[in-house]
Amino acid sequence: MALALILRNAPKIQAGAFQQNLIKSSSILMVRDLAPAHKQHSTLSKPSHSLIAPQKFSQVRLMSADHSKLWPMEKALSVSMIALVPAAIAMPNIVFDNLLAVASVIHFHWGLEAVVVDYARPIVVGNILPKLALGLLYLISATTLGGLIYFNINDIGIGKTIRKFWAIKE
Amino acid sequence: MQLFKVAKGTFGQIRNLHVSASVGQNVREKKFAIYRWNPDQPDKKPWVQEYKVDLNACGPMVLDALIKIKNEMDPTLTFRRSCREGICGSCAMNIGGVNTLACICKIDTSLDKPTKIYPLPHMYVVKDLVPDMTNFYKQYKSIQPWLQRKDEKKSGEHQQYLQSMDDRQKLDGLYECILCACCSTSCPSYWWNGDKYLGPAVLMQAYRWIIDSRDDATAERLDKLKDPFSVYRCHTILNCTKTCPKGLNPGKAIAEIKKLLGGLAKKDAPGLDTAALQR
Repeated sequence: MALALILRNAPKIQAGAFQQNLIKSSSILMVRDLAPAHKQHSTLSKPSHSLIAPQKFSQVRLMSADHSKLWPMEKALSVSMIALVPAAIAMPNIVFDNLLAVASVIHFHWGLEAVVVDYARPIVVGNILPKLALGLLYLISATTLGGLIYFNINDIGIGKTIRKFWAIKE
Repeated sequence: MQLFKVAKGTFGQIRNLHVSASVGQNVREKKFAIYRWNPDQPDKKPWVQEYKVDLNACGPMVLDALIKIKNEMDPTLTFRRSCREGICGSCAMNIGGVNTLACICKIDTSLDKPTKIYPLPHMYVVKDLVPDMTNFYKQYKSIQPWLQRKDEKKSGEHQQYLQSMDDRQKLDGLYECILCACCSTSCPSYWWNGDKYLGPAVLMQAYRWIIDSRDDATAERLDKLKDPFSVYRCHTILNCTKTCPKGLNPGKAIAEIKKLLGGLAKKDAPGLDTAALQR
Protein backbone atom coordinates (compact mmCIF):
# COMPACT_ATOMS: atom_id res chain seq x y z
CA MET A 1 0.00 0.00 0.00
CA ALA A 2 2.89 2.25 0.75
CA LEU A 3 4.21 1.43 -2.71
CA ALA A 4 0.89 2.38 -4.18
CA LEU A 5 1.01 5.73 -2.44
CA ILE A 6 4.45 6.36 -3.81
CA LEU A 7 3.61 5.20 -7.30
CA ARG A 8 0.68 7.53 -7.36
CA ASN A 9 2.62 10.49 -6.09
CA ALA A 10 5.83 9.80 -7.96
CA PRO A 11 4.95 11.38 -11.31
CA LYS A 12 3.54 14.42 -9.57
CA ILE A 13 6.38 15.38 -7.34
CA GLN A 14 9.29 13.33 -8.68
CA ALA A 15 10.09 12.13 -5.23
CA GLY A 16 13.83 11.88 -5.75
CA ALA A 17 14.30 15.38 -7.08
CA PHE A 18 11.79 16.66 -4.57
CA GLN A 19 13.73 15.32 -1.67
CA GLN A 20 17.08 16.49 -3.01
CA ASN A 21 15.72 19.95 -3.59
CA LEU A 22 14.42 20.13 -0.09
CA ILE A 23 17.66 19.08 1.48
CA LYS A 24 19.70 21.46 -0.63
CA SER A 25 17.35 24.36 -0.17
CA SER A 26 18.63 26.75 2.44
CA SER A 27 15.37 28.29 3.61
CA ILE A 28 13.72 25.20 4.97
CA LEU A 29 11.92 24.72 8.22
CA MET A 30 10.53 21.26 7.80
CA VAL A 31 11.69 18.57 5.47
CA ARG A 32 9.30 15.84 4.48
CA ASP A 33 11.61 12.88 4.34
CA LEU A 34 10.25 10.39 1.85
CA ALA A 35 13.10 7.93 2.25
CA PRO A 36 11.45 5.70 4.87
CA ALA A 37 8.45 5.38 2.57
CA HIS A 38 10.68 3.77 -0.07
CA LYS A 39 11.87 1.25 2.44
CA GLN A 40 8.30 0.21 3.04
CA HIS A 41 8.16 -1.76 -0.24
CA SER A 42 8.63 -5.00 1.67
CA THR A 43 5.57 -4.39 3.81
CA LEU A 44 3.31 -4.92 0.80
CA SER A 45 2.99 -8.54 1.76
CA LYS A 46 1.82 -7.64 5.26
CA PRO A 47 -1.68 -6.25 4.95
CA SER A 48 -1.91 -5.75 8.71
CA HIS A 49 0.72 -3.03 8.44
CA SER A 50 -0.29 0.59 8.82
CA LEU A 51 -1.82 2.10 5.69
CA ILE A 52 0.41 5.12 5.76
CA ALA A 53 4.12 4.66 5.53
CA PRO A 54 5.77 6.11 8.61
CA GLN A 55 7.05 9.48 7.54
CA LYS A 56 9.84 11.04 9.47
CA PHE A 57 10.36 14.75 9.62
CA SER A 58 13.67 16.35 10.18
CA GLN A 59 13.38 19.91 11.25
CA VAL A 60 15.82 22.55 10.14
CA ARG A 61 14.84 25.78 11.81
CA LEU A 62 16.51 28.96 10.67
CA MET A 63 16.33 31.17 13.71
CA SER A 64 18.48 33.80 12.05
CA ALA A 65 15.76 34.52 9.49
CA ASP A 66 13.62 37.13 11.20
CA HIS A 67 10.62 38.49 9.35
CA SER A 68 8.91 39.99 12.39
CA LYS A 69 10.35 43.50 12.03
CA LEU A 70 9.76 43.64 8.28
CA TRP A 71 6.02 43.09 8.64
CA PRO A 72 5.32 46.29 10.67
CA MET A 73 7.48 48.18 8.16
CA GLU A 74 5.41 46.84 5.25
CA LYS A 75 2.20 47.87 6.99
CA ALA A 76 3.56 51.29 7.99
CA LEU A 77 4.61 51.95 4.40
CA SER A 78 1.19 50.91 3.08
CA VAL A 79 -0.55 53.22 5.55
CA SER A 80 1.77 56.14 4.79
CA MET A 81 1.04 55.78 1.08
CA ILE A 82 -2.63 56.53 1.75
CA ALA A 83 -1.45 60.08 2.54
CA LEU A 84 1.57 60.22 0.23
CA VAL A 85 -0.18 59.40 -3.05
CA PRO A 86 -2.83 62.18 -2.87
CA ALA A 87 -0.23 64.62 -1.49
CA ALA A 88 2.13 63.99 -4.41
CA ILE A 89 -0.71 64.58 -6.89
CA ALA A 90 -2.15 67.60 -5.06
CA MET A 91 1.17 69.37 -4.49
CA PRO A 92 3.69 68.12 -7.06
CA ASN A 93 7.27 68.80 -6.00
CA ILE A 94 10.58 67.01 -6.19
CA VAL A 95 10.50 65.82 -2.54
CA PHE A 96 7.03 64.24 -2.75
CA ASP A 97 7.84 62.81 -6.20
CA ASN A 98 10.99 61.09 -4.97
CA LEU A 99 9.28 59.90 -1.78
CA LEU A 100 6.48 58.42 -3.88
CA ALA A 101 8.99 56.78 -6.24
CA VAL A 102 10.82 55.10 -3.35
CA ALA A 103 7.64 54.14 -1.46
CA SER A 104 5.78 52.69 -4.45
CA VAL A 105 8.79 50.73 -5.72
CA ILE A 106 9.42 49.21 -2.27
CA HIS A 107 5.69 48.49 -1.91
CA PHE A 108 5.55 46.71 -5.28
CA HIS A 109 8.82 44.93 -4.58
CA TRP A 110 7.59 43.43 -1.28
CA GLY A 111 4.34 42.37 -2.88
CA LEU A 112 6.03 40.75 -5.88
CA GLU A 113 8.65 39.15 -3.63
CA ALA A 114 5.82 37.32 -1.85
CA VAL A 115 4.48 36.25 -5.25
CA VAL A 116 7.90 34.90 -6.29
CA VAL A 117 8.34 33.03 -3.00
CA ASP A 118 4.83 31.56 -3.22
CA TYR A 119 4.85 30.52 -6.87
CA ALA A 120 8.50 29.77 -7.66
CA ARG A 121 8.99 27.14 -4.99
CA PRO A 122 12.11 24.93 -4.98
CA ILE A 123 9.80 21.90 -4.54
CA VAL A 124 8.15 22.63 -7.88
CA VAL A 125 10.68 24.40 -10.09
CA GLY A 126 14.03 23.34 -8.66
CA ASN A 127 16.66 25.36 -6.83
CA ILE A 128 17.94 27.66 -9.56
CA LEU A 129 14.77 29.24 -10.91
CA PRO A 130 13.62 30.81 -7.60
CA LYS A 131 16.99 32.52 -7.20
CA LEU A 132 16.89 33.74 -10.81
CA ALA A 133 13.34 35.04 -10.36
CA LEU A 134 14.25 36.86 -7.17
CA GLY A 135 17.38 38.32 -8.79
CA LEU A 136 15.32 39.47 -11.76
CA LEU A 137 12.81 41.08 -9.40
CA TYR A 138 15.59 43.01 -7.62
CA LEU A 139 16.91 44.12 -11.03
CA ILE A 140 13.47 45.29 -12.18
CA SER A 141 12.83 47.11 -8.89
CA ALA A 142 16.22 48.84 -8.93
CA THR A 143 15.84 49.87 -12.58
CA THR A 144 12.32 51.17 -11.98
CA LEU A 145 13.46 53.19 -8.97
CA GLY A 146 16.42 54.61 -10.89
CA GLY A 147 14.19 55.47 -13.84
CA LEU A 148 11.56 57.16 -11.69
CA ILE A 149 14.13 59.27 -9.81
CA TYR A 150 15.80 60.21 -13.11
CA PHE A 151 12.36 61.19 -14.42
CA ASN A 152 11.68 63.27 -11.29
CA ILE A 153 14.96 65.15 -11.60
CA ASN A 154 15.24 65.62 -15.36
CA ASP A 155 11.57 65.79 -16.36
CA ILE A 156 8.25 66.96 -14.90
CA GLY A 157 8.07 64.29 -12.15
CA ILE A 158 5.46 61.68 -11.14
CA GLY A 159 2.97 64.10 -9.52
CA LYS A 160 2.66 66.37 -12.55
CA THR A 161 2.51 63.36 -14.90
CA ILE A 162 -0.52 61.97 -13.04
CA ARG A 163 -2.10 65.47 -13.04
CA LYS A 164 -1.92 65.41 -16.82
CA PHE A 165 -4.68 62.77 -16.86
CA TRP A 166 -7.11 65.54 -15.93
CA ALA A 167 -5.86 67.61 -18.89
CA ILE A 168 -6.25 64.85 -21.51
CA LYS A 169 -9.35 66.52 -23.01
CA GLU A 170 -7.44 69.64 -24.09
CA MET B 1 -31.49 -21.66 15.97
CA GLN B 2 -35.23 -22.06 15.69
CA LEU B 3 -35.76 -19.00 17.82
CA PHE B 4 -33.37 -17.08 15.60
CA LYS B 5 -35.39 -17.95 12.50
CA VAL B 6 -38.58 -16.80 14.15
CA ALA B 7 -36.98 -13.58 15.35
CA LYS B 8 -35.57 -12.95 11.89
CA GLY B 9 -39.04 -13.09 10.40
CA THR B 10 -40.30 -10.68 13.03
CA PHE B 11 -37.57 -8.18 12.32
CA GLY B 12 -38.35 -8.41 8.65
CA GLN B 13 -41.99 -7.64 9.34
CA ILE B 14 -41.14 -4.67 11.52
CA ARG B 15 -38.80 -3.38 8.81
CA ASN B 16 -41.50 -3.74 6.17
CA LEU B 17 -43.83 -1.79 8.40
CA HIS B 18 -41.36 1.09 8.61
CA VAL B 19 -40.58 1.03 4.92
CA SER B 20 -44.26 1.05 3.97
CA ALA B 21 -44.61 4.45 5.60
CA SER B 22 -42.36 5.99 2.98
CA VAL B 23 -43.49 3.85 0.04
CA GLY B 24 -46.52 6.05 -0.50
CA GLN B 25 -44.39 9.15 -1.05
CA ASN B 26 -42.49 9.93 -4.22
CA VAL B 27 -38.90 8.87 -4.43
CA ARG B 28 -36.62 11.92 -4.24
CA GLU B 29 -33.56 10.66 -6.02
CA LYS B 30 -30.43 12.67 -5.31
CA LYS B 31 -27.13 12.06 -7.06
CA PHE B 32 -23.83 12.11 -5.17
CA ALA B 33 -20.61 12.32 -7.19
CA ILE B 34 -17.87 10.99 -4.94
CA TYR B 35 -14.10 10.95 -5.47
CA ARG B 36 -12.72 7.44 -5.43
CA TRP B 37 -9.17 6.17 -5.33
CA ASN B 38 -7.99 2.75 -4.26
CA PRO B 39 -4.35 2.32 -3.16
CA ASP B 40 -4.60 -1.41 -3.98
CA GLN B 41 -5.08 -0.52 -7.65
CA PRO B 42 -2.19 1.89 -8.16
CA ASP B 43 -2.51 1.74 -11.96
CA LYS B 44 -6.07 3.00 -11.88
CA LYS B 45 -6.36 6.74 -11.80
CA PRO B 46 -8.72 8.43 -9.30
CA TRP B 47 -12.28 8.58 -10.61
CA VAL B 48 -15.61 10.11 -9.66
CA GLN B 49 -18.38 7.64 -8.96
CA GLU B 50 -22.06 8.56 -8.93
CA TYR B 51 -24.51 7.16 -6.42
CA LYS B 52 -28.28 7.70 -6.35
CA VAL B 53 -29.83 8.09 -2.93
CA ASP B 54 -33.55 8.41 -2.14
CA LEU B 55 -33.70 11.44 0.15
CA ASN B 56 -37.01 10.20 1.58
CA ALA B 57 -35.19 7.18 2.98
CA CYS B 58 -32.10 9.05 4.17
CA GLY B 59 -31.16 11.33 7.05
CA PRO B 60 -30.74 15.07 6.44
CA MET B 61 -26.94 15.34 6.53
CA VAL B 62 -24.32 14.43 3.95
CA LEU B 63 -22.81 11.95 6.39
CA ASP B 64 -26.17 10.14 6.57
CA ALA B 65 -26.07 9.77 2.78
CA LEU B 66 -22.47 8.53 2.86
CA ILE B 67 -23.29 5.95 5.54
CA LYS B 68 -26.36 4.89 3.56
CA ILE B 69 -24.27 4.45 0.43
CA LYS B 70 -21.66 2.43 2.34
CA ASN B 71 -24.27 0.26 4.06
CA GLU B 72 -26.61 -0.39 1.15
CA MET B 73 -24.78 0.21 -2.15
CA ASP B 74 -21.00 0.12 -1.99
CA PRO B 75 -19.19 -1.17 1.11
CA THR B 76 -15.83 -0.24 -0.45
CA LEU B 77 -16.53 3.49 -0.12
CA THR B 78 -14.08 4.71 2.50
CA PHE B 79 -14.36 7.76 4.72
CA ARG B 80 -13.64 8.76 8.31
CA ARG B 81 -16.45 9.49 10.72
CA SER B 82 -17.00 9.18 14.42
CA CYS B 83 -19.20 11.48 16.50
CA ARG B 84 -21.77 12.45 13.80
CA GLU B 85 -22.39 15.75 15.62
CA GLY B 86 -19.54 18.07 14.63
CA ILE B 87 -17.32 17.64 17.67
CA CYS B 88 -14.64 15.17 16.54
CA GLY B 89 -13.60 16.58 13.17
CA SER B 90 -13.15 13.17 11.55
CA CYS B 91 -15.51 13.63 8.61
CA ALA B 92 -13.91 16.81 7.25
CA MET B 93 -14.16 16.73 3.44
CA ASN B 94 -14.83 18.96 0.46
CA ILE B 95 -18.57 19.01 -0.21
CA GLY B 96 -19.81 21.05 -3.16
CA GLY B 97 -16.47 22.87 -3.30
CA VAL B 98 -16.47 23.86 0.37
CA ASN B 99 -14.42 22.24 3.12
CA THR B 100 -16.76 21.25 5.90
CA LEU B 101 -17.83 18.45 8.19
CA ALA B 102 -20.12 15.95 6.45
CA CYS B 103 -22.03 15.37 9.69
CA ILE B 104 -23.19 18.96 10.10
CA CYS B 105 -23.59 19.76 6.39
CA LYS B 106 -27.19 19.49 5.18
CA ILE B 107 -27.78 17.70 1.88
CA ASP B 108 -28.62 20.17 -0.89
CA THR B 109 -32.20 19.10 -1.67
CA SER B 110 -32.27 20.38 -5.26
CA LEU B 111 -32.40 17.11 -7.19
CA ASP B 112 -31.20 18.32 -10.60
CA LYS B 113 -27.58 18.86 -9.62
CA PRO B 114 -25.36 16.15 -8.07
CA THR B 115 -23.55 16.91 -4.82
CA LYS B 116 -19.82 16.58 -5.40
CA ILE B 117 -17.79 15.13 -2.55
CA TYR B 118 -13.98 15.19 -2.60
CA PRO B 119 -11.31 14.67 0.06
CA LEU B 120 -9.75 17.74 1.69
CA PRO B 121 -7.90 19.60 -1.09
CA HIS B 122 -4.16 19.31 -1.65
CA MET B 123 -3.66 16.52 0.86
CA TYR B 124 -2.13 13.13 0.14
CA VAL B 125 -4.99 10.67 -0.17
CA VAL B 126 -4.87 7.38 1.74
CA LYS B 127 -8.07 6.05 0.15
CA ASP B 128 -11.23 7.62 -1.29
CA LEU B 129 -12.17 10.45 1.12
CA VAL B 130 -9.46 9.73 3.68
CA PRO B 131 -6.57 12.24 3.62
CA ASP B 132 -3.13 11.71 5.13
CA MET B 133 -2.98 14.07 8.13
CA THR B 134 0.63 13.25 9.12
CA ASN B 135 2.08 16.64 8.17
CA PHE B 136 -0.79 18.49 9.83
CA TYR B 137 -0.41 16.66 13.13
CA LYS B 138 3.37 17.02 13.00
CA GLN B 139 2.99 20.77 12.63
CA TYR B 140 0.51 20.84 15.52
CA LYS B 141 3.04 19.00 17.65
CA SER B 142 5.75 21.49 16.68
CA ILE B 143 3.96 24.38 18.43
CA GLN B 144 4.04 22.46 21.71
CA PRO B 145 0.32 22.67 22.47
CA TRP B 146 0.46 22.32 26.24
CA LEU B 147 0.78 24.61 29.24
CA GLN B 148 4.39 25.47 30.02
CA ARG B 149 5.47 27.03 33.30
CA LYS B 150 8.87 27.79 34.71
CA ASP B 151 7.71 27.12 38.29
CA GLU B 152 6.25 23.74 37.45
CA LYS B 153 6.44 21.28 40.32
CA LYS B 154 6.50 17.51 40.39
CA SER B 155 3.11 15.90 39.94
CA GLY B 156 1.51 15.31 43.31
CA GLU B 157 2.65 18.66 44.66
CA HIS B 158 0.37 20.50 42.26
CA GLN B 159 -2.16 23.08 43.21
CA GLN B 160 -4.37 24.61 40.56
CA TYR B 161 -3.19 27.66 38.68
CA LEU B 162 -5.34 30.79 38.97
CA GLN B 163 -6.81 32.62 36.01
CA SER B 164 -9.10 35.65 36.09
CA MET B 165 -12.42 35.51 34.27
CA ASP B 166 -11.23 38.14 31.79
CA ASP B 167 -8.10 36.13 31.01
CA ARG B 168 -10.19 33.00 30.53
CA GLN B 169 -12.48 34.84 28.15
CA LYS B 170 -9.53 35.53 25.83
CA LEU B 171 -9.42 31.79 25.07
CA ASP B 172 -13.02 31.72 23.85
CA GLY B 173 -13.15 31.34 20.09
CA LEU B 174 -9.76 29.63 20.14
CA TYR B 175 -10.06 26.55 22.34
CA GLU B 176 -13.17 25.30 20.48
CA CYS B 177 -11.06 24.27 17.47
CA ILE B 178 -11.40 20.54 16.78
CA LEU B 179 -8.44 20.36 14.37
CA CYS B 180 -10.53 19.07 11.47
CA ALA B 181 -8.09 20.83 9.07
CA CYS B 182 -10.91 22.37 7.00
CA CYS B 183 -9.28 25.81 7.31
CA SER B 184 -5.69 24.80 6.65
CA THR B 185 -6.62 22.80 3.55
CA SER B 186 -8.70 25.70 2.18
CA CYS B 187 -5.72 28.07 2.37
CA PRO B 188 -3.83 28.58 -0.93
CA SER B 189 -0.71 29.51 1.01
CA TYR B 190 -0.94 26.18 2.82
CA TRP B 191 -1.41 24.37 -0.51
CA TRP B 192 1.75 26.01 -1.87
CA ASN B 193 4.00 26.02 1.20
CA GLY B 194 2.41 23.40 3.44
CA ASP B 195 5.86 22.04 4.27
CA LYS B 196 7.04 25.29 5.86
CA TYR B 197 3.93 27.39 6.54
CA LEU B 198 2.10 26.14 9.64
CA GLY B 199 -1.40 26.91 8.36
CA PRO B 200 -4.39 28.57 10.05
CA ALA B 201 -5.51 25.71 12.32
CA VAL B 202 -2.08 25.21 13.87
CA LEU B 203 -1.40 28.95 14.10
CA MET B 204 -4.68 29.56 15.90
CA GLN B 205 -3.66 26.94 18.46
CA ALA B 206 -0.22 28.55 18.69
CA TYR B 207 -1.99 31.83 19.50
CA ARG B 208 -4.26 30.05 22.01
CA TRP B 209 -1.16 29.09 24.02
CA ILE B 210 0.66 32.38 23.44
CA ILE B 211 -2.10 34.46 25.06
CA ASP B 212 -2.98 32.02 27.84
CA SER B 213 -2.35 34.04 31.01
CA ARG B 214 -1.04 30.92 32.78
CA ASP B 215 1.61 30.16 30.15
CA ASP B 216 5.18 31.26 30.80
CA ALA B 217 6.79 30.33 27.49
CA THR B 218 5.32 33.23 25.48
CA ALA B 219 8.66 34.63 24.35
CA GLU B 220 9.97 31.21 23.29
CA ARG B 221 6.74 30.43 21.45
CA LEU B 222 6.88 33.72 19.54
CA ASP B 223 10.58 33.32 18.82
CA LYS B 224 9.86 30.06 16.99
CA LEU B 225 7.39 31.79 14.68
CA LYS B 226 9.39 34.83 13.56
CA ASP B 227 10.92 33.31 10.42
CA PRO B 228 9.50 34.26 6.98
CA PHE B 229 7.52 31.02 6.54
CA SER B 230 5.85 29.76 9.74
CA VAL B 231 3.44 32.71 10.03
CA TYR B 232 4.22 35.24 7.33
CA ARG B 233 3.08 33.08 4.41
CA CYS B 234 -0.41 34.15 5.54
CA HIS B 235 -1.59 36.80 3.09
CA THR B 236 -4.95 37.37 4.84
CA ILE B 237 -6.85 35.47 2.14
CA LEU B 238 -9.36 34.54 4.88
CA ASN B 239 -10.56 31.29 3.27
CA CYS B 240 -9.89 29.82 6.71
CA THR B 241 -12.42 32.01 8.50
CA LYS B 242 -14.98 31.59 5.72
CA THR B 243 -14.85 27.80 5.72
CA CYS B 244 -14.50 27.00 9.46
CA PRO B 245 -17.40 24.63 10.27
CA LYS B 246 -17.20 25.70 13.92
CA GLY B 247 -17.53 29.40 13.11
CA LEU B 248 -14.10 30.32 14.46
CA ASN B 249 -11.75 33.00 13.11
CA PRO B 250 -8.23 31.67 12.48
CA GLY B 251 -7.43 34.65 10.24
CA LYS B 252 -7.80 37.02 13.18
CA ALA B 253 -5.66 34.81 15.41
CA ILE B 254 -2.85 34.91 12.81
CA ALA B 255 -3.14 38.71 12.61
CA GLU B 256 -2.83 38.87 16.41
CA ILE B 257 0.32 36.72 16.23
CA LYS B 258 1.77 39.11 13.63
CA LYS B 259 1.00 42.07 15.91
CA LEU B 260 2.67 40.36 18.87
CA LEU B 261 5.71 39.43 16.75
CA GLY B 262 6.03 42.92 15.33
CA GLY B 263 5.83 44.56 18.75
CA LEU B 264 2.55 46.30 17.87
CA ALA B 265 0.78 44.49 20.70
CA LYS B 266 1.86 43.03 24.02
CA LYS B 267 0.51 40.16 26.06
CA ASP B 268 -1.27 41.52 29.13
CA ALA B 269 -0.01 40.69 32.59
CA PRO B 270 -2.17 38.00 34.25
CA GLY B 271 -5.22 39.37 36.06
CA LEU B 272 -4.57 37.07 39.01
CA ASP B 273 -1.29 35.87 40.51
CA THR B 274 -1.25 32.59 38.57
CA ALA B 275 0.88 30.61 41.00
CA ALA B 276 -0.54 32.07 44.24
CA LEU B 277 -1.70 28.65 45.45
CA GLN B 278 1.66 27.03 44.70
CA ARG B 279 3.39 28.85 47.57
